[in-house]
Amino acid sequence: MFDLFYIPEIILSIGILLVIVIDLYIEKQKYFSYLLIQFLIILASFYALTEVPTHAYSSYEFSKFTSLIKFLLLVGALIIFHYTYRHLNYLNNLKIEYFTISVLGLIGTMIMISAYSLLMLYLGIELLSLALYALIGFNKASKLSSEAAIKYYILGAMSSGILLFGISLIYGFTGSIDYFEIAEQISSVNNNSVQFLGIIFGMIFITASLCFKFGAAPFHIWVPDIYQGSLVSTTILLSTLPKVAVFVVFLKLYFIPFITLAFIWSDILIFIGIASIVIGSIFALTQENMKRLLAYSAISNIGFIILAMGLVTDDGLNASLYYTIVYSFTALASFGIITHITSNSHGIEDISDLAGLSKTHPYFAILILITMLSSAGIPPLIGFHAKLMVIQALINNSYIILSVLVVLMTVISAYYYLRIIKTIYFENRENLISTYTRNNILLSINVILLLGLGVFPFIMFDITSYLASILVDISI
Amino acid sequence: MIPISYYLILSTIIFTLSIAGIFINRKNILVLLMSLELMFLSVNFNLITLGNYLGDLTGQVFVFFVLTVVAAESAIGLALLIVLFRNKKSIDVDDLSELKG
Amino acid sequence: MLYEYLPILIFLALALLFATVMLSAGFIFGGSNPDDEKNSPYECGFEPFEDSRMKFDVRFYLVAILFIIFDLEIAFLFPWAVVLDHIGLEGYLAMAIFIFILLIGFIYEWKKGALEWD
Repeated sequence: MFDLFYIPEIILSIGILLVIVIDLYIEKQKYFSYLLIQFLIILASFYALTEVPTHAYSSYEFSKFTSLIKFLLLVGALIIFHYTYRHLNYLNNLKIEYFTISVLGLIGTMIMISAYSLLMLYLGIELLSLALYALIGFNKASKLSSEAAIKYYILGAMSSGILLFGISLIYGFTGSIDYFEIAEQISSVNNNSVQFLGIIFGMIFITASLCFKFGAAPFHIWVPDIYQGSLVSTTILLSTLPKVAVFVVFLKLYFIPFITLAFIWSDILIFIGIASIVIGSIFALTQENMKRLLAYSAISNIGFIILAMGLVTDDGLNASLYYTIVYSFTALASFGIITHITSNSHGIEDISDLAGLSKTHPYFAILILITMLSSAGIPPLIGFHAKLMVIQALINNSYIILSVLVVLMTVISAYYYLRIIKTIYFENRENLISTYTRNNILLSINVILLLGLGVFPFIMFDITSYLASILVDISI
Repeated sequence: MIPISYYLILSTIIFTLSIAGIFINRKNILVLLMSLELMFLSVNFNLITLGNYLGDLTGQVFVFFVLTVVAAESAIGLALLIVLFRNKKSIDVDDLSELKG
Repeated sequence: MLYEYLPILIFLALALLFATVMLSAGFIFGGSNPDDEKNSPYECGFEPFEDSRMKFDVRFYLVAILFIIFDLEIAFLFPWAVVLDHIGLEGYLAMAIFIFILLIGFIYEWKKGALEWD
């Protein structure tokens, strides 16, 4: 039992309770509390890699795969908090509660990743969602922020309800909430029975709800509104950590309990993927608001991930893992840059706010240039390899027409990424763009990695194929 | 003995009503919150029925967790509602229209 | 088994019947000729000042929010108390941890002044 004390979830939970109390008594020294939280995350990420409990716990899974993903999430959180602290400080809205709530959300993502029963899955998703409701509404003085929060709250709670309804159906028709037992039950069910129908219904409810949490196409309406309404620091959080966690949930749910239903969900996922790519690419064309544009770009990226997963093959799985990591890395960089640039004392809102950035801040202009080119999928950068892998997987499975469509959409999406670059380099505007610092080492490393890992892609290939190989270990 | 399908049909009807309540309601956000509660209650009903039918406690334990989480959720919902009211001086659904593009 | 509930059913039916008869009697036998003045709400002879649905003080909501959270711990405490004999030290510690976490929430809201009315 005592080996459980070293898992990152417990370390973070105990630590964060301490920080809440400590912060009450030293309200003035926010930097100290902030450092304490960062220290906690470093500690947790250290234990995430070194201590993998060997006990088997029903309903909670420890494996190399989950530890590695947790480590990645923790490192991501570290970077996000680093950006967030400066951003909130600049906006004079610095409250330690922002970080404590984020850490609670982080614990939620970790529970989602380790969940091995539907109850744990539900609790993880809810912990994450509750944290996100509060974070989106964090900017209390802003109308947009509170409107976004209430919108996300209502839709999010509804999707939780749908998830629960699906869970109750699965529980009722298989008699268990444990992934492994569900898998056994489903494989022994006759395809024409009422029981089978009930399971399919349950699975479709769960899929709809998870697609909502993912922000995939038919359930994507909230994404641009919420991205626009919340603080940029919340937007970074929204576009990285939950996506990775929901992706892992998708992977575990479909490849463990629902694997024998692959002939049904494969088509659903491919449809959702294509719809997301098309909607994300086309609707982004008309956006003037920077955050809305990046939101639509996120939708189309999610589409790539789901599409690759829907192929139900090894190379598809590999591609989707690769794409997820690359996407969250790119999102971290692109939103990270936006947290550093402000115009007219508030954050960057419209694309035109960026005009003339190359004259005043050539360093940040280059960072945006690299990130946008990577998102567009220009060859030497890492985004190119990610898109290539998905399209390769499509062609290998003889979805030729779909791959042509995907390439077409990539070309369309390149237009709006290039439009941002054009605004930065070829348009002038007399406006007050300012930054907190001349440069930021972590941000630079983040962006340079986009280039470096693109030039030497085999490093990332190795990591993801390793991840895929240990994933296969657990699922079979 | 009432057949189990009756229970399931009842809970599905309540669930559908609550979703309809969310989409059709165009007046007040508080009513939306009530619809959400109704939705979770229908799920709880479903879980208890099925758990009882299977002779298994998991369903009822699940309900405990759902109840607690939903309470936390509605607390956050009310808090967000207060923030919204302070900013907008209204809690009409039709006023949620500033985020568009 | 259902038979035991028969008195309640009869009682409910009687209550319903009685109420219906009384109300409908008033409605049928009493005369009614409404006009604008009679239909408008009466407020000490003035024109009504504002919407009759009163706005609540926002502090009531705050109390309600805090109440919801701390109310639900009872849902866990009751079953726990009933089976405390069987679950032993482990169950006791688990509940202690749970209460401790709630306690931290309580300290937080106290220090933040959420419990003060003014």
